[in-house]
Amino acid sequence: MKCRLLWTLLAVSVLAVSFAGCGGGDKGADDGVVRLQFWHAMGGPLGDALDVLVAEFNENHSDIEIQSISMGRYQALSQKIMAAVAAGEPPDLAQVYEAWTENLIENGSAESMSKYVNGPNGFSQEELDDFIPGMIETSTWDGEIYSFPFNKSVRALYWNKVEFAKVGLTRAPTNWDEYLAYVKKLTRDTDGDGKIDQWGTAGQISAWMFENLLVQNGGEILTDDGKRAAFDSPEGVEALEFMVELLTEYGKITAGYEYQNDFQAGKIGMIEGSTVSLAFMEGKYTFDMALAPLPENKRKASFFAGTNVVIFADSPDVNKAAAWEFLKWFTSPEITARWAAMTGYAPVRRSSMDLPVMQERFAEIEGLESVFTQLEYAAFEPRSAAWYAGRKYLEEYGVEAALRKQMEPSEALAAAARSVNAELED
Amino acid sequence: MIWLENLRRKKFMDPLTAAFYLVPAGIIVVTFRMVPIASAFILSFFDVKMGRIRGFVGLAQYLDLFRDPTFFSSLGTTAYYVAGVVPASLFLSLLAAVLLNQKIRALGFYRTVFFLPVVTSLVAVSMVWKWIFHPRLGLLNYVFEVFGGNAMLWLEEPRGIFEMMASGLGWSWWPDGFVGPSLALIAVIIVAIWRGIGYNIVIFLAGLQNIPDQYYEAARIDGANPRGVFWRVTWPLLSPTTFYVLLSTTITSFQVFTQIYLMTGPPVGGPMGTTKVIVYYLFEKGFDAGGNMGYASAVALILFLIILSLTLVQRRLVESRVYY
Amino acid sequence: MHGGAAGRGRTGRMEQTATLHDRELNAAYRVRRGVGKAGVYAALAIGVVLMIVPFWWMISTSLKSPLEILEFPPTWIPTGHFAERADGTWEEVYIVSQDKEAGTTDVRSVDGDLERTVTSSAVVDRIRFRFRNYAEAWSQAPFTRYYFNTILITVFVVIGVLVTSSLAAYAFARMKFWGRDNIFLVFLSMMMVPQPVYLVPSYIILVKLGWIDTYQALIVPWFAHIFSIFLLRQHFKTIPDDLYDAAIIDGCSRFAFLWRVMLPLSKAVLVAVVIFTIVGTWNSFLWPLVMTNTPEVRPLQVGLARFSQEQGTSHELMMAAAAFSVAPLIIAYFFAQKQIIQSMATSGLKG
Repeated sequence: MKCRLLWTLLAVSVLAVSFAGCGGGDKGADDGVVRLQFWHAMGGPLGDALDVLVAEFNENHSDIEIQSISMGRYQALSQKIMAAVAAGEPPDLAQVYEAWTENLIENGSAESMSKYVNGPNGFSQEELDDFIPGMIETSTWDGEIYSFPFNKSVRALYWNKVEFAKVGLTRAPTNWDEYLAYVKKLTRDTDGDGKIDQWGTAGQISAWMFENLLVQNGGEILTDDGKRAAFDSPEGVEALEFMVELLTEYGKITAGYEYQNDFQAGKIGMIEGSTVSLAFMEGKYTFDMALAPLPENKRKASFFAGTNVVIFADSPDVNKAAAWEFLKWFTSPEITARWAAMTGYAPVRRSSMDLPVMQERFAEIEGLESVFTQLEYAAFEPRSAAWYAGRKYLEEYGVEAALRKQMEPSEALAAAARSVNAELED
Repeated sequence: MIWLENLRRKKFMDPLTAAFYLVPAGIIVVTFRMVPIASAFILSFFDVKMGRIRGFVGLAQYLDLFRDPTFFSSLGTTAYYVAGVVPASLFLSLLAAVLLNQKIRALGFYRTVFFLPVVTSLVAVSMVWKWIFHPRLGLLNYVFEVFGGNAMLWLEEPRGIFEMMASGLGWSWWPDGFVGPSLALIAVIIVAIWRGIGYNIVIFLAGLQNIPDQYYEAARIDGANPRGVFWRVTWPLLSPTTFYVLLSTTITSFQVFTQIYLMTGPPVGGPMGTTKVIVYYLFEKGFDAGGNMGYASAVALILFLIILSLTLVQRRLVESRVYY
Repeated sequence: MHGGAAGRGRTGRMEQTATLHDRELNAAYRVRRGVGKAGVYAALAIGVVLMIVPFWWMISTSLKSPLEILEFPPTWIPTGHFAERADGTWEEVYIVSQDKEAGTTDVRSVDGDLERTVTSSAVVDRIRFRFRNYAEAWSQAPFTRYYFNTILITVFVVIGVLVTSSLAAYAFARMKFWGRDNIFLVFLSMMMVPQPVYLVPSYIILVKLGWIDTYQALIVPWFAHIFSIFLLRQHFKTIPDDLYDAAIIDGCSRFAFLWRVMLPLSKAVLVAVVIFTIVGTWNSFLWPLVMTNTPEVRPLQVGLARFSQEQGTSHELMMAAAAFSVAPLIIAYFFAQKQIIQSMATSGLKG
């Protein structure tokens, strides 16, 4: 009697464990289908678009099944990849920033793709030349291709044509002087209560915006050898002063992407954003809106943002080959064009631009085509693992300190440069 | 059989039986707590990157810690947080409990309301408060404006509150070292107090109700006024409860993580790193940017020692005054 | 008397009836001499408002329209602008702009893009609740699955914790074995280590077990709950030795003693353990965030956090999701608040 009670209890707990065990799906079914885990950080409309394409790939490849797993934000993705690599069980494919790639290469976790790219199932020279300039180079370390361009975006100006018309403007600004003049004009008190209710612009604290302004103003992020910060130059200070004036006198700074909400509500004349913001804004604004390339100053300049995809070295060879098959398919002119049309990411192939799917999109969104002309000269940020930390310092100590009026732009950039230099020296 | 029972009573068999009883919990605790914690601490003597041990470095990482300004600033932020949460939470919950311990109509209603946030998830709490703190559309700034105050940035305000008060008084200069916790951190502290106060109230209330009424009567006969009654009866007899509340609030405050992770930023720990508490710092070191687990573990061990020593000090200090 | 008899261990019943009268006298005395009752109620009322307003704000926001969110000053009760259509029916509209001189207002229908101009007096504000925000939020993420996962996980963890904690607490409280108190101290000290510290080693262990992204990863590691062991041990210790000896002499086995005597005497603490476990499991965040990848096993809180990140700016949907995520525990709390509060109080006293 007494013992029976004990056994009942034990049985319950054993049952609990084993029943819990049923939850885990069996992943290694042996039916000749190669199953790949693809970890990414595409959420919302981007995740939906990716899932559509992945499903299509799976349908057309009876022997491969890509399991698309969204980890939410990039930060969460990088943490998951870190933990998985540490545990020796990474996925087959994952989105990564260049700086993470360097860590993965150093760790022996990233597979070189050169043998696939140059192999029989690879790309011809002609096809490689069709990639947007720099995209393959930024994935290449010591002559080996370790990652493949996947989702890259550039910045664009989004402008509210209705608001522009109200103050007598008919086109987007093309240079810094116009940029400033226009936001001034757009910032006003429409209901006469003495408070400004209509703003020229808005934005978030962003190293990306500063980097674009810096290079447009003739500056550089790092010195040519990549060993020291160069953003604290007079050009940089001027760029940051410009950014502070734009966003604090004629604009509002919001946490995260809140400023896009205000723009959608018609309270902001124009905003800078990624081309991907389009996917998030689609259908949420009711005014006449158009896109334009960033205004230029001493020179045209634009930086890419976004990630590449790596194949992990620990995966079995069949998985790696299948992963490459997926990347090759995904970066084909037709698919990358559809990906671009759905999300606002830049197509990775030049020939995509002429395809009907892109042309239709260009006809739909005024100015998108001109925004993508930036791809011809767009550059990549420094990609060393040290810059991953360095960029945080630039954003926090430099850009944020100045925008929050904690420091003068010159002081802030000098402070950020000191931290970045210390990081680069290590 | 009798000899067997005798044996049992004399506890000869205890180690074996005890092992049997301890096994289920023991396996779990050892596998999922002890081993991970021990390996984390051991890793603090190794250079680890992305989970791969690159070599034994001895105390090098501890020495690095003492030259790491972010470590010290995160320690300072944590200290501000604990100093902000613990006394305020203790004071407010004790006050509420004493008020509720009077002959109050609808005591259950008040208790229910104060306790409500305790059963609410931190994720939801963080979302709601982030929205309340919204600089332009938030409820709090609206209320401030109604009462003639100025809208504030709350979770986006990196300035220290002492500095803000000083500039509010019209002083243009304030010493750099004394700016105080950022308003953003204060916002996080407010949420922590709001969420935790109900638990403390319930425990204080139970403590108060356990004080036999003869003591109050005796004090009354002695002619003590209410304040005297509180200090001479309530406070000393409540001291074990106070000690428990103090200890548990301090420990949980030192370990604050989820609120910071969910409410601040982007980037988390912002604005300008003023809400980067120690646990988030070690999380970032160990999990982000290269996975420097060894260094993170060194931070963790220091934190553990701080919590442990504070616990012991509190115990020592309070024990001398606790009336059991 | 509000404290439960079970939780009040040693206080005698006779004393209780006597003190009721004393307490009244005592309170009356305090009122006469000290703060007036009005002051007490005023202070409590302020407290209640401060505690309630965030909940009010969550519910109120969750019932607003997307553009109403952007209005400042905000409305306490969700209110929409309504304009009369040509056929005499009313529809909800957004106000695009107002022309004060002409006395006209440009409005746009909430459900369409149609813009029209009406006289300002024809636009009236009415309270309305947009319940469809809830349906919309629910449909934008697999919340049904999240709910199911969380309930499943919580049920199993509660069973596991009850079993392992009672057994272990019994051993710690009643048996003598080498290193007992030291082992117990080691257990306790582990409560002082914050979770992020051992997250990566735990992840590695779960990978080795093949448990990442499974229910086991969220259930089994939480089968043992140190605080529960602590609570139960403290309570078991208060049960007199005589009882134990008597039971053993009567031929009761050790386990039967636990089952028949100890546990029934510890109902309040067991309820506390159950409640702590439910609240803790339902609301746990970081562990499931790291240990799960797919929506199939993702619990509610992680899903909610993901949802709020992906929504970014749709506050009405975020608040709706927050509301339906906290609802079950709050409803359960309303039904079982007496037990919950007594149990929580017990936990503090035993500390």
